[in-house]
Amino acid sequence: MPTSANKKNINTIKLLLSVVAVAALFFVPSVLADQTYLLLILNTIGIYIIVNSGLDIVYGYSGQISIGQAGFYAIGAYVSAMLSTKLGMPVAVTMIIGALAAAVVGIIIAIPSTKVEHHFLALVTIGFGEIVRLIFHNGGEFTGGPDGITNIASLKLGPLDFNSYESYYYVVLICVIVLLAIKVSLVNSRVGRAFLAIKYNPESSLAFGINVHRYKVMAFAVGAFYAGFGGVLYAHLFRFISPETFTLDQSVLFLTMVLLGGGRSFWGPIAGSVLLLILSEFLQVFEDYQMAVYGVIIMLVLFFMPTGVVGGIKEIFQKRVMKLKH
Amino acid sequence: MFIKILIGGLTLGVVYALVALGFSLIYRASGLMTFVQGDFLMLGAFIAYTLYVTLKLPLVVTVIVTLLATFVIGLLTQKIIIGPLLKRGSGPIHIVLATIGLSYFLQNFAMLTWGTEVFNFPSIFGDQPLEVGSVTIVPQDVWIVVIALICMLVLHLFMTKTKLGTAMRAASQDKMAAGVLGINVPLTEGLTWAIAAVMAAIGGILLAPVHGVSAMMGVRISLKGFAAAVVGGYGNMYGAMIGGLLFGLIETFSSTYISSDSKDIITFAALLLVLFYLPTGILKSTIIEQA
Repeated sequence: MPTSANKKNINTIKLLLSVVAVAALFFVPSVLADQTYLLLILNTIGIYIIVNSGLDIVYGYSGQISIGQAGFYAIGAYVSAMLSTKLGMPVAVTMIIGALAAAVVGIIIAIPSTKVEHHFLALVTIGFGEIVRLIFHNGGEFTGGPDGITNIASLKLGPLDFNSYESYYYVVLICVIVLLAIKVSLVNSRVGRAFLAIKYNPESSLAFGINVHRYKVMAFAVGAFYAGFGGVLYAHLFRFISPETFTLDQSVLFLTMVLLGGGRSFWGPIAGSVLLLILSEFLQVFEDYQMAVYGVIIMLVLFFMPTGVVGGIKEIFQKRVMKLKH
Repeated sequence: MFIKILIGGLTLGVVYALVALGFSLIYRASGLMTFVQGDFLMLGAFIAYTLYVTLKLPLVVTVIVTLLATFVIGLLTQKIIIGPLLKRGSGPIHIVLATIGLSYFLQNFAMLTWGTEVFNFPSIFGDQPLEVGSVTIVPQDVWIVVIALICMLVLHLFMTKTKLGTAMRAASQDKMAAGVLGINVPLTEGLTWAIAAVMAAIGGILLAPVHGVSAMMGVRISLKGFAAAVVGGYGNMYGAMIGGLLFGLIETFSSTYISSDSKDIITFAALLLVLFYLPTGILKSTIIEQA
């Protein structure tokens, strides 16, 4: 049994290690300065980590399914792109507005949706995602229709212009750190415990005076905010968006990432985002067979790692510890 | 004009209904949601295309072989993927994802086997419009509606009048009790998926001469079919039929009278409204939602 002094030591080591790891992440661009493609992938991984950590709050913590995150992702991207490019507002402001717009739509859609459960919620979120995509698709001049929006303004803060993948990397990294910190404090708070209570036993949560409906809406709104924020970052990274990006397949990809990494965890969505993005790069080797291999991998994960990679590793580790004890 | 649109809507609607029936049967039997129904429809259309157009086999042989093949594919899906996953303790969401994975696999398989283009399927019942009084009717459309309705009637008779159908209904209500009474539950579970696949394949064969055959043809239809199943009353066979027809009509009428760009938005908006205000569907779901 670890004593409290031991625990304290372990926590200090953990803290030190994470500080070193985060510091190391800030030096990545100086090592990869001319590797534009790798930097683009790292930026994308950061964006996916944000979206998936938000989805984890919805799915992993409060037990609601969403196959419509691409809808919120699209709202963030389009709102920020339209306001900055068509109306000339500063990007730093439109980024916040974009993410907030996604959260507001999240609340509006969550109020009626959180009353339906399971498959029905899956269907509602699919329908929502498709409606959002179709609206942008048919939006005419303002949304650019099927062609989308090109030449989106880059993020400028005072004299700094974040128009290269290298400089943008720092923006994404800081956003990832801040949003992950918010997630950790949220899930370890009273609110986070209420989410879990709702997930595992809605009836007794209600009996204990937890406003189930309100917390479900809250989880949904937080998830929408994270997805919207990811979309905003996406728009000003690629500086081109089109409805093609925000399909049902994108929503499925987000959910697959969370399940692959493992829900209800800090590392799960991170591991899922990193692994699946690397995997999809690797899958390009298969050319015409890509989708088939991707499909088979989804099924294999479900067969052999139903709790996700992080959950699977934890299980193996726990088995080892049990063996050592006996 | 009105009659023409009505028939167009019914044609599309009965195909949605056939797909929706599969969704409903599976949900009633096991409480599961699947994403491969559309790909069963696509496979049915492609197998029929190969037999009828490429190999020039007679129509009767084509239909029988296609339905047998999709029956086996549906059965194998349950026996190789769904059943074993459930045994490992997977939840409904895992099954949803597994069927999405299978769906990607089948679409890719179809693209590699047949190609990525849209293939024309020759009309079986004639696509020359006929003047009946003041309206023009395409015989093919009428046949599609009639054949689909006959298939639904056959399914209804099978489920209510035969011993096997009754056993399937019993097993979907209470697996353990059905097993105790000597019903072969693994068989009925496999049969459910097989029948769902066959229903979708019939839809595929009927739709092929109208819309052509392509690897992605199932995707849109699958979503609409699922919506139809839920709106009609998820798990209720007759609800699925009503829901399918309703969605076919909504889609055709809104694309004619409003705009073809907004037809999908209107369809999905109708779906959300029904889910919010009538969560049990038009005909009440036969299964009470288990928490």
